[in-house]
Amino acid sequence: MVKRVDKVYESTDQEKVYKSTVPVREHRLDTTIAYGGTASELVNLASKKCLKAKDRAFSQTTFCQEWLAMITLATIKDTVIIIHAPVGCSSSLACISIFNRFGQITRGETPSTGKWFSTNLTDAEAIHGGETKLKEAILEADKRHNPNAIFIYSSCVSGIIGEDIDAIIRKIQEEVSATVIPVYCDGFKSKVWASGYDGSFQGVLNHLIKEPREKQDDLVNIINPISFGRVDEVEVERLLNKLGLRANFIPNFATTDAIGYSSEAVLTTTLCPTFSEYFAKELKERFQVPYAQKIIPVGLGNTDLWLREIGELLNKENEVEKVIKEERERVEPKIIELKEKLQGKKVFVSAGQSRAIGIPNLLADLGLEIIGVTAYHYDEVISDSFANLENRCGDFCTSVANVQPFEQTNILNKEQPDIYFGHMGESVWAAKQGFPTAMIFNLALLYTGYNGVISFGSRLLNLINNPSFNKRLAEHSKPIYREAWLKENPFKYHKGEELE
Amino acid sequence: MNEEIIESPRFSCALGGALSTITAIKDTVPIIHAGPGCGVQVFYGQSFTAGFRGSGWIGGVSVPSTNTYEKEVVFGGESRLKEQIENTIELIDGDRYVVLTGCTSELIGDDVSGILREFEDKSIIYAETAGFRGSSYIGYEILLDAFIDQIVKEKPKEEKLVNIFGIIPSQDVFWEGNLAEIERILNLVGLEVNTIFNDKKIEDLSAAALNIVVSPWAGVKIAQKLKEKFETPYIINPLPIGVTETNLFLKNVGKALGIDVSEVTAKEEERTYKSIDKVADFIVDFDVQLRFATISDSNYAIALNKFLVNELGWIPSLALISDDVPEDYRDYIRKELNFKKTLSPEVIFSSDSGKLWDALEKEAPNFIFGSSLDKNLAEKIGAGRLSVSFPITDRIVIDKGYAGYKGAISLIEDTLSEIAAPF
Repeated sequence: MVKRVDKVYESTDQEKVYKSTVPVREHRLDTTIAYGGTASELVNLASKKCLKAKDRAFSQTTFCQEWLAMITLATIKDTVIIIHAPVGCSSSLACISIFNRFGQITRGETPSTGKWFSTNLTDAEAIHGGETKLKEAILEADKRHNPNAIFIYSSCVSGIIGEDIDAIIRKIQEEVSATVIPVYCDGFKSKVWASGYDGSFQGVLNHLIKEPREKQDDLVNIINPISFGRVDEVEVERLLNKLGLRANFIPNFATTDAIGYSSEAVLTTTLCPTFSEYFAKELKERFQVPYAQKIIPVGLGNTDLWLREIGELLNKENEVEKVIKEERERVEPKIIELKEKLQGKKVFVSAGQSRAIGIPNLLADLGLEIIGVTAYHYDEVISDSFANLENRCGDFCTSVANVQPFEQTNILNKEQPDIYFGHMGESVWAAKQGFPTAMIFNLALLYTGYNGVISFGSRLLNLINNPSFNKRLAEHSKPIYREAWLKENPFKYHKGEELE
Repeated sequence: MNEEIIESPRFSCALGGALSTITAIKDTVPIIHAGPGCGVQVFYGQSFTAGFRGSGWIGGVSVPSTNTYEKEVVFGGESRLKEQIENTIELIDGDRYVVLTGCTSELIGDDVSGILREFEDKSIIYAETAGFRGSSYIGYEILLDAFIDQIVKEKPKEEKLVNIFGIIPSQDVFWEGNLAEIERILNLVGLEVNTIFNDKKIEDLSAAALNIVVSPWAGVKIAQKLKEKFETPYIINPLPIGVTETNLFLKNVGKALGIDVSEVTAKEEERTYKSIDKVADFIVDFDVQLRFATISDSNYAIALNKFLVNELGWIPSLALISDDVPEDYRDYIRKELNFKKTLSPEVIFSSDSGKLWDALEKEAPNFIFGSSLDKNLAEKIGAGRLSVSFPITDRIVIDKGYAGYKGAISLIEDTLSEIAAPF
């Protein structure tokens, strides 16, 4: 089936006029959220575009693209978020605020809670539209906080009632000093929550990025999702410094200027290719900043690749090889030591697609045996690196699921890993089955680069040394699912979809 | 409902309140019929932000949800809902299944009751909890209203049984401890208590001799409905904290049911003051008499101000009330907060944190009883602060409560600990 993917701009004779929206990833990248089988089969089917399942006949709640759009922009300095929606759609910002405050503290700043508004759409506006309230919210946000930018988030309700946020912004922009930026992220419009990154970055690209004053030949943009701690940034910054390069971490915890002049950088690279995919490509397309985003810099080999890609693009191949050699030699004794203690443990990893490449590679560096991987979604962003992982670790149980703990419970019961690695919100279910669990992003712990392998490996020693919390918890946890479910095919509820 | 724009809201939506309530009821399985992110949004935005309340048996990312996308928005989500209900029952063994509709399914007009009629299983019910219907408080009321319509039938009255309404899991961050203390003291006067979160059943709500709404407004509609349907009398008695208010609470209940509570109140009073005596030296020696403000829902505003003024001897300044109180109940709340002239807080109703912070900054009290959202403001004006109202992300809350006699001791401990923290 040929899918029509809309362009993100309209051309006139003089210039390209960029739209506020970006086609969602299932259309743009043919992304899937449902697969179950083995790694080799996934590689094979995906390469032939033969992944059949589109969704599930039973599903559990998951993230929508608005949630991911919130974590993309919530920590940018001197900005305000307005969620144009019923009051519930801004609820999680109080939780995201935890990450924001913690991130500021680890950057040596006095923590300040983020600023956000809800237009609090009620039944009246669900019928008549919420233009008046949105205008009022923009004026108030500008008056109260004098921000550099105000992000206006769309929602399911604003989308269904057909609110023209662009038009409302055009009417009010000149009344406020802040740059008002639309972020289109209607939850129902994408099955792939990562589409929310693209909607956010489209707003940033269209309204915040400036033409370069002059190119800075040692400045490298590093796209940083909120799920990486400052310690992770410090490690990759250390590596870049060794190559005579400076890091410009954007968008999280950055100023609007640091984001605005990312157009001056010599290169864009990333901590997470899934997060940066659209943004980095468009920085190249619109501002001629080349990008390196083949791999997440988690794990020894991945970090080598991450550096090599930068080296190739900046003609620093020899320097990069020198750094890799130095670093590898430096960490090797410690890795051998860790390997002796961790070797052969069977592990299962569930993670967003880029970490689903990074974490298993890191664990394999430490001699752990990968018996299963769940990626939250799958597409070309990781197809090569996933094939490499399969090549390296042999054929392991693989699933693609937008969380869906019912599948995970079934799979883990069959696979019986020694350690489970998972995401916030999801790991607790493995813990309640009694498996020792480790978080795949703990903002206080280092995962990236060469030191990340040592840091994470050392954390695992504690886990193996004392897994009693999860064990005791499991003894007292009532199972959610009927016993029969554990004997079923975990992918029983996958289904195709005729209407796309 | 006051339909203002809201900076940093202190509640979630109707779905948030309903879901956090359902996941507190034993063996009850929620099925969200809404967009993909609603369950996660209100887990992280209603429960996790309530002192880090966890997923429990079937909360968090385990909540069944139709995750309706563009296809359902365009073509309707009824067949998807039917499929989801069938498969939820196949997978999960619950006593009851509750379909909660969200904004998308209600805007596109899915006929949920029609779908449910296709199921013979009477343990499936539904509540229309679209976020645009209002706050978490409204969601709680909508859910309980659905329970009464769809589950509760006439039953013979049990003269020693009372129901408690008005305490909303997570929205009242200390709900579990508060309910435990209320149940404890009612047990002491010989009553059995149905909180719907303990081992009592929703079906038995009609058997109670009295409904007690422990809130100035949230849940009053439910008590009114039960009165109309089952002739159960009700009393409204906002959250009691401390000896004076808890004695009065028990007296009010006793009066309604013809029970003498004086022996219990005397005993509890003596025991509580024996505990308070232990901090008398700290309070007297460090001159702890502060001018305070509350920034909370109306229930906590009343409870905290009464306790702090009448029992702890503090000086009130502002009672900032953030729960979008329906107009009809505001006079009652103002009256409850009207003590003697020099000891009455100024009362401001607004859900908009920005407006509330402006008032706080002008007033500059010494101590703020508020939420974690008020950290920056407290630092700016150099006030002490304790998180007592939603959202709370700077404390872990398991089963602590501030209600009643025992709760007052906890509140004193936590408040004075904030004062002692720099020592």
